[in-house]
Amino acid sequence: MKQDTITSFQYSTLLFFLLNSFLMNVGYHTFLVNRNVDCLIDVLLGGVLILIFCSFLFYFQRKTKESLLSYMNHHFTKGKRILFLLFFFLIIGFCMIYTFHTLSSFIHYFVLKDIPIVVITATLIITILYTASKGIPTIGKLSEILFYFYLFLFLIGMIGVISSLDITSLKPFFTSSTTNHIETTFTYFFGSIIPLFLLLEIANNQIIKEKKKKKLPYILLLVSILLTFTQLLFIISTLGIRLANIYEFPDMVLYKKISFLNLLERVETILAFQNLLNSFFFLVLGTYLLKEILLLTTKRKKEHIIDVLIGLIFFLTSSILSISSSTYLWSNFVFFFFLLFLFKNLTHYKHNHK
Amino acid sequence: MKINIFMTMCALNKVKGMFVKMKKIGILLLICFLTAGCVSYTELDDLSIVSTLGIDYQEGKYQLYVQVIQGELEEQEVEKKIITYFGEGESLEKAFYTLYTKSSKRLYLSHMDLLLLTEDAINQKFSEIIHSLLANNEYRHNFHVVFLTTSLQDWMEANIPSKEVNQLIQTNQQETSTTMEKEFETMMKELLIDRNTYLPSISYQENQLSLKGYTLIENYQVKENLNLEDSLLFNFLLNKVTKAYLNNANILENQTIITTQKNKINFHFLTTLNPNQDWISNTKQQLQDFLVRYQKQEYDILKLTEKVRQNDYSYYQKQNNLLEQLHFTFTFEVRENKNYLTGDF
Repeated sequence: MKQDTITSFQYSTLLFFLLNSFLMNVGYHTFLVNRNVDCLIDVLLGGVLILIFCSFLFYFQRKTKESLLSYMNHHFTKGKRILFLLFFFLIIGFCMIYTFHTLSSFIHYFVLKDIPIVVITATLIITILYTASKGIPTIGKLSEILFYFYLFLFLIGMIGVISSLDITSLKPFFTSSTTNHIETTFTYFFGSIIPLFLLLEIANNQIIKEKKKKKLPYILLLVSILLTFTQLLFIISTLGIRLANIYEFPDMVLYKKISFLNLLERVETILAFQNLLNSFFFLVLGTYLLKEILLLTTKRKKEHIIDVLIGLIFFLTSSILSISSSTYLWSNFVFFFFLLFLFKNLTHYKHNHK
Repeated sequence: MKINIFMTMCALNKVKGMFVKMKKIGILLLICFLTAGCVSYTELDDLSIVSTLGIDYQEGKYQLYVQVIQGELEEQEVEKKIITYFGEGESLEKAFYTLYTKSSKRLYLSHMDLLLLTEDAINQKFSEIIHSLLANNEYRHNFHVVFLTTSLQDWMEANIPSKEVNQLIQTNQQETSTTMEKEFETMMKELLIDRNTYLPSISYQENQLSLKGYTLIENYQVKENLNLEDSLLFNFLLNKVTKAYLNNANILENQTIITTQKNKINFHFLTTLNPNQDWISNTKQQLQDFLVRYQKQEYDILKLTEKVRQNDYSYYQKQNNLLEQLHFTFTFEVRENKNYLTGDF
């Protein structure tokens, strides 16, 4: 049992990356679409909603003491369990295919232009499947190591563009309509539902709790929100709201401007690793969940076949399906209401059980 | 019998262990081959590094001139050579295709540092050119954009390196303040405000490269060319003057602070110059005339309406034609650079 555990910090870093996956799946351009500087406030408002949502998830995790799937396995009837698992499988699988497609296209377009996308896809699939097969402890360790690396890259990126900042670009403020505020705030909130839901795969007793680190998950969620806020602030003040709006990945344009005393330049491909990490942990934990779902319905011995099956599904569908970010957002929106329904069911079972 | 079974089991375990090892090695090899760096890598020698891109539009066709830098090994030293390619086509992409038919190496656009545009290219295809440059991820958007008042063909035939043009602009920016570098990204920012911008203009005639001030662009069309005097005034208002000679006075230092209060725009100048009696009144009049001239033409040359929008958004929203209502004031804080060798001792 001890081998299956992760530390509170590792768990928090996973949360950090899961929330950051919004930046790759939906991206900064959705904040900038209304051409308004007020989107900076909306990030913070959306962040508050995310913190509230996460506190519900933590509460659920504490009460059930086991992972969602095993809880469902123990408490749900077979019919209901299959129905829920099928829904999870389809909607999370759908979102993962979208993320996978976005990530491989991003790498192909920005980092490895001359490499055939098939090679990028294959390499990614192997890495994701291998990491997912190692289980939660390895994923946790990896996320801890990469968290420091992520922070280092982030700092390099931000320090490098300080010289290009123009504070006047942040004016005028408070000009957005209430509708725009609601739209952007909820985009950030709903765009993070499915990635954050994946943390329910980790059972409460898998996390080594330390008394002093009780608030660590909240702190790292806050760090993720603040880093998003800071980067958006830098994007707007460097490029201006109008120019930032025309780019799909304005953060990459920002990285292209990085210069350290005219000596260290053209580091955008290295810094793009941040974007890769944002999606990577969502894909790994998603794959882990899909595998668990399939293992629940089949025999344990067929793990390798399941790996190949998931890999093939990713490989084939990501090149065929064309999913837009709005479809991804809608599936998150639907999933949110489905979650409410699921929690209602779970509390009902718990009540009956008592 | 028991020993035999044990030995067989051991052998089987060994085979199994070897199989696992082989599998691991196989996966590692597969990853090695799939590792992106090994697939279709390009040597620097196989690239033609584009330094200048010149675009003209004549008789319904884009005319592209691309200046590339190629390094050739001669007597153990790499010698840089500038080669110019020409391509033509109905679309910019097609023109690039024709360019490729003449180049044995791949054109690498990431290091481009000069874009030359002619009047015909701007008047007829400016938005398409911008769109094409934005769509291609290989450009870095920090290259300089320059307006060429003379023939692009003559220019390219002369094989003038991009560095020379950029240096001409840089030197004048520092020494005469009659021009200023314009990066593609800055140009884009200005165009996205009100579709107006300005570009430094140069000419190449009789083997002579010279600076021609600024070219104003309105609604993706060339509006007019500012001469060097007007360009200096323009820079003076924009706080881009470091050293200059204006109204018979040598400006040694200057800082322009623009403040807005509703439709009142105040330009405050902190200037150090050699003594000149009528300098302030003359300069005030010149600046006023310059600004009113473009105000009457409904051309917001300094993007002052945008400044009002930034500083007083509620006022900005209530106004229908803000540019017409703008009122300019000028205040000077002049520090005279005295000649200590004259006067009483």
